[in-house]
Amino acid sequence: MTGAKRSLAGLDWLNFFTAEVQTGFGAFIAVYLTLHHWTGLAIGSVLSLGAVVTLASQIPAGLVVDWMPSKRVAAAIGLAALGASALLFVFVPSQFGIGLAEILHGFAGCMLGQAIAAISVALVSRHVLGLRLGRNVRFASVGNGIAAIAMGVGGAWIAGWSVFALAAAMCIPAGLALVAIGPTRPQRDALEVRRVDRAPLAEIGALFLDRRLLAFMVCMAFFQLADSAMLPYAGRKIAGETSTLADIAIAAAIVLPEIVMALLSPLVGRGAERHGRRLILMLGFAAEPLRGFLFGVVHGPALLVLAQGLNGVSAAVVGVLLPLIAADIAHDHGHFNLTVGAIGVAGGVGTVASTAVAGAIDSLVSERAAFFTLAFAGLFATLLVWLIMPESGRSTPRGVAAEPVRS
Amino acid sequence: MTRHCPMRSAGRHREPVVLDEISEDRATRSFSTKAIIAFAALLGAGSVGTAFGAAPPAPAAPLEVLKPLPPKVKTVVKSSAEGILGQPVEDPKGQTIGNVVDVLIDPEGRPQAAVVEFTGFFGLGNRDVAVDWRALHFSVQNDQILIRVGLEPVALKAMPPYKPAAESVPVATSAVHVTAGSP
Repeated sequence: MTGAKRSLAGLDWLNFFTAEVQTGFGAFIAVYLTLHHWTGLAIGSVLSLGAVVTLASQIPAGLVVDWMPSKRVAAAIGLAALGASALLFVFVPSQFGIGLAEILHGFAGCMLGQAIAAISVALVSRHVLGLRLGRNVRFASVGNGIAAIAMGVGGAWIAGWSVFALAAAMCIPAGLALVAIGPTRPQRDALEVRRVDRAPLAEIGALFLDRRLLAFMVCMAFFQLADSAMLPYAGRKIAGETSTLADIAIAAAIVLPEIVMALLSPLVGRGAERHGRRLILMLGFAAEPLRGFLFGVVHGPALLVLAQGLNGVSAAVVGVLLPLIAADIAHDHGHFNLTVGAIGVAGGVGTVASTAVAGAIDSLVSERAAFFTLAFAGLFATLLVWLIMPESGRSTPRGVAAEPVRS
Repeated sequence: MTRHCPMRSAGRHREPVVLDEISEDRATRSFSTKAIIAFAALLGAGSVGTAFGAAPPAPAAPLEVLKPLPPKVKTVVKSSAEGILGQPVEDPKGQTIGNVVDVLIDPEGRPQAAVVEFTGFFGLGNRDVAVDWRALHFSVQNDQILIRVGLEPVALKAMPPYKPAAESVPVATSAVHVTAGSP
C-alpha cells in the first residue's frame, strides 16, 4: 500500500518536473537564438525542423512505448534525451547543436509524454483514471506556471542560457520522482484484457477503423487549428496595448491559464467519469471560440489577460480527456500509446495549419480577422464534438465502481 | 557590393593563408587532376561531364578552379564592421528594448529602416517594429557598437507591427509622432 502511495506521489512530481523541463522549450527559443545573432529565417527553419520531428515522432514514439515492457525505462530515456537537448542549447548554440537539440527534443518529448500517460493508466484502475489524469494535469500546470516565471525572470535578467540550464537541471528531480514509481507491470494487464486474438496488423487496422478514434482525431485537428496560433497573437496584442508594465501583463497571461488549469483539472477528471467524456469535451472546446471572439473585440490588458484565462479551461479538458479517451479506445483494441500518438498527429496537423492560416490572415487582412477565423475553427470543433463524437467511456453513477461495460 | 565585401571577409581572412600552404604541392596535384580528367574523357566524357554540372568546359578550366584568386583583403576592426542582426537596441534611458532582426533597404542598397523586435516576457508578446534608420544613433562602447533609438519605447510599441508580406511598411521616424489610439 505504501509502495502504491509512493508510486502515485512519484507520478505527481514526475508530472510537475517534466512540465518544468518542457517549459524551457517554448517561445523563448526564438529570443535566445536572436540573441545569438540568428536570422529570422534560420530561427524559423530550426523551429520548423523541431515541429516536423515532433509530428513525425508521435506514431513511432507510441509504437516504441507500447512495445517496451517497462514504461519507466521509456520515461527515463525520454527524460535523459530532453536533458541532453537542453544542454545542447546551453553549450552548442550553433546550427548543428540547435538542430540536433530540436530533433532530440521532438522525439524525446513525445516519448516522455507517452510514457507518463502509460504509467498513469497502469498505476490506477480504470474507473478512477479520470481523477488520476486530472491530478497529472494539475501538477503539470503548476510546474509550467512556476517554471515560466522563473525562466522568464532568468532569461531577462540573468542570461538567455539560464533558461535551458534550469530546464536541464529540472531533469534531476524528475528522474528522482521517476525512481520513486514502483513497477507497474501487474496493473498493466488491465489494458491487455480486451485484446482479441488477431494478427498485429489486423489489430491495428481495427483500431484505426474505430469510429471513436477517427472522430476524436478530426475534432482534435480542428481544436488545435483554433488553439495553437491564438497565444502568440494574443501576446502581441497585449504587449502592443500595454504602455507600461507589459511584462507583468504578459506574465499574467502566461500564468492565469495555468492557475485555471490547476483548479479545474480534478473537476474535469471527475466530471468525465460522472457525466461522460462527450459533454465535458464539448464544454472545454466551447471555451476556444469564446476566447478567439474576445481577443478580436476586447481591448486593454486586463480583459485580454482574462480572455487568455479561458485557455486554462480548454487546456485542462484536453489534457485530461486526450489520454482518457485514448484509454477508452485502447480498452477494446490495445495499443494505448499508438492511439495517443494517432491523436497527437491529428492535433499536430491542426497546429501547423493554425500557424500558417493565422499568419496569412494577419498579414493580408488584419489581426482581428485572424482571431475571428481561429474562433470560427473553434466553434466548428465544438460542433463536431456534438455531431460526430460518440461517447467513448461509460458514465458510471456516483460512487459505483462497476466493472467496465462494453458500449 | 564593394562596401559589403570587407565586412564579410573580416571574419574569414585566414582562408588565403590556407590556400598558400596548399599551393606548395600544386604541381603534383595538378598532375593528378589532369590524369583524372583524361581518364574521365576516356570513359566517354559526355555523361560524366554533365554529371559534374558546372565543369563541362575545356579540360584546362579545372586548373583555374584549383587556385581561386582571393579579392584584395583589408582587415577591419570588429567595431568598424559589426554584424547587425541580433544587436540589442537601447531606448534613450539606456534600457535594452529589443534586438535588430532585419534591415530594410532602398533600391540603391542603402539602409532605410531597422526592424526591431521588442522582446516580451519569456518570448511572448514579441512585436516587430520598423524604425527609421535616421532615428537610430550608433556609438562604440567597450569595442561594441551600441545602437540607441531616439524614440520613446511606449510610443514605438503603440505603432502597427511590421509585416513582411504587406504592401507598405509603417516606419517610426524621429519626428514627433502621434499615433491614433495611443495613451
